[in-house]
Amino acid sequence: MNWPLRISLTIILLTADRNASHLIGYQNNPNTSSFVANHVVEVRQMAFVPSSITVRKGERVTFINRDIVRHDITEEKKAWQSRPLGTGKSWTFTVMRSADYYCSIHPVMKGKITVK
Amino acid sequence: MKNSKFLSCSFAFASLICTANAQKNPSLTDPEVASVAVVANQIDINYAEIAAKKSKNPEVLKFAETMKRDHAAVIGQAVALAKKLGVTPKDNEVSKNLLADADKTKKTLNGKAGRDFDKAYIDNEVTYHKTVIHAVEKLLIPETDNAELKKLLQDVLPALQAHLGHAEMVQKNFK
Repeated sequence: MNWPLRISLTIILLTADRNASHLIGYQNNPNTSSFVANHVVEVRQMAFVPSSITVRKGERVTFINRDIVRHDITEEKKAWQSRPLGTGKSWTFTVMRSADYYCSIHPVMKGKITVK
Repeated sequence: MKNSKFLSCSFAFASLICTANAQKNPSLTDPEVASVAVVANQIDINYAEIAAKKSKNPEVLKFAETMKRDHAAVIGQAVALAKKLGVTPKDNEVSKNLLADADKTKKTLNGKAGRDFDKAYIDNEVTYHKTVIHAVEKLLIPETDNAELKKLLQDVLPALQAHLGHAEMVQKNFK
């Protein structure tokens, strides 16, 4: 592995820790040469899966729409919001603080990100 | 006007479920199930189009837009699956009754305006989704033989339940 090339890299973590099953890998940050955890939340069957995740400040979360209808991800007080995501589309953002979020298209769908 | 009078299409589903429960063999074929699924989704798109024309309430308009888009997506999935399976959706008594009853509901909705319309539309959506969820669970899924069509119907249920929850949220503003 040649670190100076700064090739974007994901290491798949196979973990037995079910609580960390949303954590799929680490991605290197070309600015700092450090690795940033990447968490994944799937949107399927009209729900965020998992609906609650715990991350560290500065880590990234990717939402992937696996549903047959489009969704978005909107912070409860609209501090941030994704674009509408069609089937198979994804959106990644860097988490700086804890947040409750929902889908503004289907407001019964809710999720939570806790920064520890 | 009470919801039960308003949503006459529920009677078409309800009567078929009763028939299906009472007899062993009023069964729908898979092409007929596909037709009922497409018609039920199209009916809600038609209601949403009326709402888009008549309502000025932002919540109602947003809900209607979601219904139009989501139910169109479901129809797209159903049509694609039917094509893949070589199945042509077939008209049947249930789909015909649904359409006939929906015509009556559309006339009722078109006869209302303002807040009366918004309340009637949302009340109808709550009742309609409850009825369709019941019909999909108790009639369409059990009547379906093809595994892929059955899975599509099962996959659509969470969307219908989310729509119902959304409609009930909007409905609270009209109590």
